[in-house]
Amino acid sequence: MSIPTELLVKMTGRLAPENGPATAEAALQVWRTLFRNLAPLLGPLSTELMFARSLAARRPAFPWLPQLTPDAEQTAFARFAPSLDGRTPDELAAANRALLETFTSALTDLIGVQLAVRLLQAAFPDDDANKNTLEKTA
Amino acid sequence: MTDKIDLRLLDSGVPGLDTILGGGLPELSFNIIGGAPGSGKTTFAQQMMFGMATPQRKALFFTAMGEPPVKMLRYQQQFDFFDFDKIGNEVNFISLAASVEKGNYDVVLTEILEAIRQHSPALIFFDSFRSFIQGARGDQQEAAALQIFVQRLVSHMTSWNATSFLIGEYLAEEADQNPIFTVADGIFWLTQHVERNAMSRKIQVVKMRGQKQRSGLHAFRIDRGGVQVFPRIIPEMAPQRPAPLIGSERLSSGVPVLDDMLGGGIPPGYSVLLVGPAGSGKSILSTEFLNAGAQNGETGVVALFERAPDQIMNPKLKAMVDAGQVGMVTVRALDVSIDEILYELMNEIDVRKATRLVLDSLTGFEMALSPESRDDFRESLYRMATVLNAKGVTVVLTSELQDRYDELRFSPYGSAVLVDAVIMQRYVERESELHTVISVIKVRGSKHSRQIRVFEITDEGVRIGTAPAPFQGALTGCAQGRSG
Repeated sequence: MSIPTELLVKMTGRLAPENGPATAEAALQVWRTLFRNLAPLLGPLSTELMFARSLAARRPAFPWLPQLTPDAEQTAFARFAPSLDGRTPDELAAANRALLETFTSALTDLIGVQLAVRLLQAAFPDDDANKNTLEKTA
Repeated sequence: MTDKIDLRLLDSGVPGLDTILGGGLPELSFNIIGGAPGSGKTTFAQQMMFGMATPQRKALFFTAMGEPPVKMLRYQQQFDFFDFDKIGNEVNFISLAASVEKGNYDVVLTEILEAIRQHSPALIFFDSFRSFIQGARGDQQEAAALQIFVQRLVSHMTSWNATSFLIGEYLAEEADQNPIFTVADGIFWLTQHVERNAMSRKIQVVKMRGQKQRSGLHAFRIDRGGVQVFPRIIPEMAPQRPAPLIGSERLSSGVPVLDDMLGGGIPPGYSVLLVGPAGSGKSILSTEFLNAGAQNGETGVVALFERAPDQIMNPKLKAMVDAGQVGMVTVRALDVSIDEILYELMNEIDVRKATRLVLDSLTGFEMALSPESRDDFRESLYRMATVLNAKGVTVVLTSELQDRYDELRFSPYGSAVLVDAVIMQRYVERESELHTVISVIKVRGSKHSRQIRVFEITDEGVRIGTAPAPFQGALTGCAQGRSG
């Protein structure tokens, strides 16, 4: 099960703000938005574990992603953030797109497509809804 | 005008629950939903939440460590009441697991207060409240600290102008010790009872301030639609029995000769027990009873307990069912409660405005009940007969009579004393041939025939002899020809 392509495109579009190159800060902001919206609903631990599993699944393709160990003191996200430093825009876009695919796929497996899409759309509302606002939020 | 506060009642959203609550759930009440794991607490709470939440009455569902929220969402969405459109709008979920894990009541309360401030809910749920206690660390585990936390939480709840619910895996004996039970306005207790291979669920409204709730245990069922409560039907102390006998018009049994034997038909509102061995024609006779009503413009209901409709459906019954003159209730599960069956029957009777009911048969009826309910079968029959009687419905109950010729028992459940009339069928042997006989054993407050007559099912229908059967010794099972 997976979320609709257009929703994934909308999320990955946030990796490269203003149609420019992907940046580490934009990628981190996408994940923070996801966690902020999902953690209260799914529980912080479930959200953390889903992200950790996504990292583990995509690390073979992107060996620079952090290798997580069960006894690690830092959260998966705390280990992930510095790993983006020094990566090219293409690497950032490809890795985060892959991570988002895995993460959202795991989400739909857990709570179903209908609810997952609803939560993700709430986290990433259509840009049209904000087109008249002066402040751009990531 | 009165100075008393008018308690506004909310429609709980759980079918049957408002009846036992005395009309609905008091707004702004503080409630506890308790029970063992698997008793249906979370489903019950969420059904109420989705049922009561509106854009003007938003709900906030706090989860602690009781169940990972993601799992709860995964399974609860299987129920029909789970409304995806309400998620994130009328209904919001907040996981408190992180602050509960820190084990400090102050941290938990701060997070709760912040979420309440942000969402301004009118309905607040905490699941599972027990997790707060288990999550507490060190001196926070002391009863005094818990009590202070509870008091602070409850004080806040009052000021939030919200109807609130604490869901927890409490044990019955905790009710005496746990301070929250004292301050709660309402207490719901959910249990499940397993006997042999059957499981039955019960709910009790232990307490509901300001309401005259219906006491005792009430059966409930959880299926795809969610929770459905079957309020325990309690007959009134002095049921309004129909004024029957002298001068009132009687109902036809569908067989004129039998009407004569009954003293002119069946008095309205009577319960008639029709006992006989397998294959003696009880179902056919019951069909005639319904058909007589249909011919008279009455509607009826038939409840089948041991056979599927296609097994019992004779052409006459099928025609009545197809024409909407008779409603059909089929119960073949082996774990239903008497109140569940009564609920279905009453519903069907009310919808069709039925005046005649056939229960075919008591043997199958007992088998359909959960083992726990079977223990109370006689009492259940009494309740059912009384309620149906008060409704003015005339009932024919069939019961299998074990053909033993050394004793005669009309009713294995003692049901003969619960009914108003008894008709008996029996097999007798004469010259190596089986014959069926019929007699009227009892009609309360009425003269009736005491003759044993020959009963036959022919191509033209039921035929009952107009004179005593031409043999004697029928009750011994081995009849002799009668001279003269």
